[in-house]
Order: sequence, then C-alpha cells, then structure tokens
Amino acid sequence: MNLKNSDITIPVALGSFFPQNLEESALMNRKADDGHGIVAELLPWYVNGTLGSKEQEWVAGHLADCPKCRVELEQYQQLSSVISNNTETPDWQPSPAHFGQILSALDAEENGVIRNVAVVKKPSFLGQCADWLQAQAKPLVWALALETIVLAALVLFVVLPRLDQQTSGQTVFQTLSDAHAPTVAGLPRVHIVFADDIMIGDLRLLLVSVNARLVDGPSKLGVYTVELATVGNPDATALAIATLRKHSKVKLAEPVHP
Amino acid sequence: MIRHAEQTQGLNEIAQESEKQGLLLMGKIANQDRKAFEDLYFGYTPRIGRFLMKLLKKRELVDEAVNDVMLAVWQQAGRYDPAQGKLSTWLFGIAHNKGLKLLERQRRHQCEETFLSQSSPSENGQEPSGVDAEWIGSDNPERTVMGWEMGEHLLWAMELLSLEHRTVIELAINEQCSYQEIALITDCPVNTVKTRMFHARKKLAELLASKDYP
Ligand SMILES: [Zn+2]
Repeated sequence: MNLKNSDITIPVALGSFFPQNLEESALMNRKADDGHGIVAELLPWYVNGTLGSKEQEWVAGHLADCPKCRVELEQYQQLSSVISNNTETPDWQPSPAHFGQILSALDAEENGVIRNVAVVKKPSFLGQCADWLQAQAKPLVWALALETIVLAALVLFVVLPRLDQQTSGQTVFQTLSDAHAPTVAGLPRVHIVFADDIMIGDLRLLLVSVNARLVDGPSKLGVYTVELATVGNPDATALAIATLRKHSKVKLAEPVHP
Repeated sequence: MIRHAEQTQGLNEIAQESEKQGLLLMGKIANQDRKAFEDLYFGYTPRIGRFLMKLLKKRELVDEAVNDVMLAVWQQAGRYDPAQGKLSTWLFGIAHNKGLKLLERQRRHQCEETFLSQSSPSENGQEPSGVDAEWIGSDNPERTVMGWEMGEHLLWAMELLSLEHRTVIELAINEQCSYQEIALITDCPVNTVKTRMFHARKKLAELLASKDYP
C-alpha cells in the first residue's frame, strides 16, 4: 500500500474528524482547566457507555455546559465510528476443525507425550527433543509445537529401519511422501498412530473401509501396524493410505518399507 | 450514544444472564467436561479471535493464540474468580498475554531472518508491515461508504501506533471494554490505560493530519 498525497481524495465530511483542542486540554493541566482534561480522558468510555454512574453523570453535566468539550465529543464519536466500521481486517471464526486441533493438543498434553518420548531408548535425538521440551518453562505454549515435534519424531522412528538397511556405498533416499512400497512377497503394511480418543467401533469401521487388518502394535510410541489387502495394486494402496490419513482420528499413516 | 435507563437495565439483565451461563460453563470445565469446553469455545472465541486478529494480523497466528487460550482455560478453569471480573475480561486477559508472546516470538524470527538476509522490506516504517495480503488486496464492497481512502489511511495510521496504543483502542472501541477492564486485561494501572488512550487518539490525529486530514 503506497500512500501518496496525490492519490488522496479528501472526503469533506471528514474534515473535522480529529480533536484540535486535545493538546490544550492536556492531562497535565487537568486541575487548572475546570475539568476539560478529565472529560477528554474519559470520553472514550463515556461514548462506549461503560463509565460508572457517577462519572457518567459528571461527564454529562460538564458536556451540557461546555461547548469546547462537546466539539471534542463529536470528533471522538466520528473517530470511534470509523474505527468500528473498519472492515479491513479479515475476520476470524471458530470452526469444528480448529476445535479438533485444540482437543488433540489437549490430549497430547494430558497423555503425557513428553514422558512417552523420553521412554524411547534407541535414537538419542528423541531424548534430546524431550530434554529440550522439558526445559521449556511453559509446556502450555508449546503444546502445538510439541505435537508436531512428536509426530516428526515418530516419522523418524518409522523410517529408521529403512535407513538402517542401506548398503554401504549406496545411499538410499526414501522420502516420506512415497505413497506406496508394496512388498513383493507379502501384503503392503502401514504404520498408524491413532488419536487417543478413537473409539473401537470407529477403528473397526475405518479398517474395514480400507480392507485392512491390524497385525501389530501398539509399540512404545503407540504405533500400530496394519496390513492392506491391496498387493500388486499401487493405486489401491495409495488410496487406502490417503483414506487413513484423512480420518480425523488418524494422526499418522506411513507405508512400511520392506 | 448515551443509553436510556430502561435500555441499560435490559442490557444489564442480559449481561448478568450471560455471566451466569459463563460461570456455569467454567464450573463444568473445571470438572473436565469437554462439552462445556466446546460450548465455551464456540461462544467466546468469535470475540477473542476478532481481537487477536487485530493484534496478530495473520490467521495462522490467531489459530495458535486461540489454541493457547483454550488450553489455558482447560487447565485453569478452577482458578477463575467471578469476583475479580467478567469471564470475558478474564479470557481477554489470557488472549492478550498469549498474543504478546506470539508477537514476541515472531519478532525474534523476523530479526533472525533480517540478520540472515541483510535486508528488510519495511525498514522505513512507511509501509504497514506484517499485514495479510488479503487484508489490503480484498475487494471489499463495504469499504466504499466512508471512502476507501479513509479506511486505508486509518489502517496505515493504526499500524504505526505502538502495540499498547493499538490494544487500548481496539478494546475500548471495538470491544466496548471499560477502562477498569482494560486495566485488568493488559495488566496495568487504570491511569496508564487512560493516558494510553489519550495519546493513542492524539497520535492517530497527528498521523492522519500528516496525510492531509486536517
Ligand atoms: Zn470542557
């Protein structure tokens, strides 16, 4: 937004918008100025109707006798109405999705995710994460970040076996967005982390809907392994994983690499 | 603008009823009632979110701040004391606090980025910084009434106010808070609130005058 004076058309009605006598009725002189300063100070709350009855009466009484302060009142009312009619700021509205995030953060907090992470023996990175998190004075503020980090840690944990398998001299980069990696011999498997409040009925429905069955879990990190009946069909595997990820009670669904 | 006695009476009754409802919700939330928690979220966050949007400007940040506020409510519901003030005041106080923390974090990030890139797009203070693109670029039909130049100038002037000044203006004008409530929300003495409001108005007037508004 570049503002140049030449771009501006001044609406005539706005000419008297701002208090010119604000300076002279400054607070410092309030005792000597017969109350104009106090009125100037209280006007915003006189206008929004939140003054106590005594103050309200006092200001009203002063305004009735003081043309100077009435001018200021009018100017303040105009400023106030421009500010309250200003629709330039985009609105924010609550939503079920956002509330869902809050509940997840709350669950993460209540189920002591920090302790769970600290329990993991193997990767010291996770230990460091936990130490760092615990060092933060206000876990509340970090609840969301915490959940993200824990999920990231889970992702690391889930891919670690793959990294372990890499042969020397041949670096394998397997990104997490690889949608499928069906085993040749067996059925494709997926690691899943469910929300803590998932109901057993929902779980069953979800698994049936993607034609999957639970084969392992939960691990210490709460990771379950399911097997998909989509062998030899990468598209169906990708679709099943996408369906799992879309479910509101699934926090993580990653294909298991053979 | 000055309310009639009957009107005030009616409004008081509505306000008292809503305070009673709020208190009831808080009691349930203190007992880990998630339905009450949800009701509080949908009942109170439209105002909290609107206020935070004015402070933080970005939806993602407001999402995060409201999240922080709600978690604090869940954990501290039992500590809410109606004798200290209205529930909305208590919630605004938490929101103000969380909002400031996020702003501080963002400021630190920006400092780091500026340090790394050795350049800042808005160093001269003439451009409103950190404003959502949708805010400025939107084709908002409602902004024609007062003349959209005024809207843009006001926005520009508000951006140049200090955070304290902007906050007191938002709370007094858009949230109809009393000066005592603003003192509770921003955790400062009532005289400071009055002085801030006075200087905020003066500063706004000066800024707009510099854009040829007499
Ligand atoms: Zn006067």
